[in-house]
Amino acid sequence: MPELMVFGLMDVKQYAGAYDQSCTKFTRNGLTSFELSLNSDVINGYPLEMKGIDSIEFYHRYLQNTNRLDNPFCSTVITHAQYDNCNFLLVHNFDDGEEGQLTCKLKFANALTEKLMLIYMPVSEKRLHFDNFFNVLKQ
Amino acid sequence: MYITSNEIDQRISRLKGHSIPFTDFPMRSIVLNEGVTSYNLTLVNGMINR
Repeated sequence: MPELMVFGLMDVKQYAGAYDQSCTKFTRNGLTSFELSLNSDVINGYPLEMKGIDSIEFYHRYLQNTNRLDNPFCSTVITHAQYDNCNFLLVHNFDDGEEGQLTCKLKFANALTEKLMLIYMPVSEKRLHFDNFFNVLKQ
Repeated sequence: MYITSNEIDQRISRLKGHSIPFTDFPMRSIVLNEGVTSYNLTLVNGMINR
């Protein structure tokens, strides 16, 4: 079962539901480096870093981890520009049964001038189990 | 329990001792305060695939 985690950056106003801002637009917000660590060990393949002004590493990893890279059966693949401008998401697939303290390290080109939100979404397959008395157990 | 027909009763009974798979995707957030360039954040403690 694929188990993954999705990360994105967003303004606090956007997150709060401002009428003039999209709540599904994710941009880089000056992020230059992203590193994931499990039990203080940096996970293989990290950190992701900017190459000058180019975010190709982030884009490449996004395509790879969402199974879109070099996949002829994938109907649409967003362009690098679309990724940069409004779909800047980071995706990581975890191996089965990994356990411990998951931390991330973010670096920005400049100190943030206003608060920012890091949104993250762990995706996992679960089950609702019904026993003979219709007690429901989430597994 | 409110049963409106035998058919619904049968459908509900089929759930006994069975399970329904679903994809769970809770959204979490951390606020990054202004004035800093680097952040170390703890996201999960414990089983990651749970």
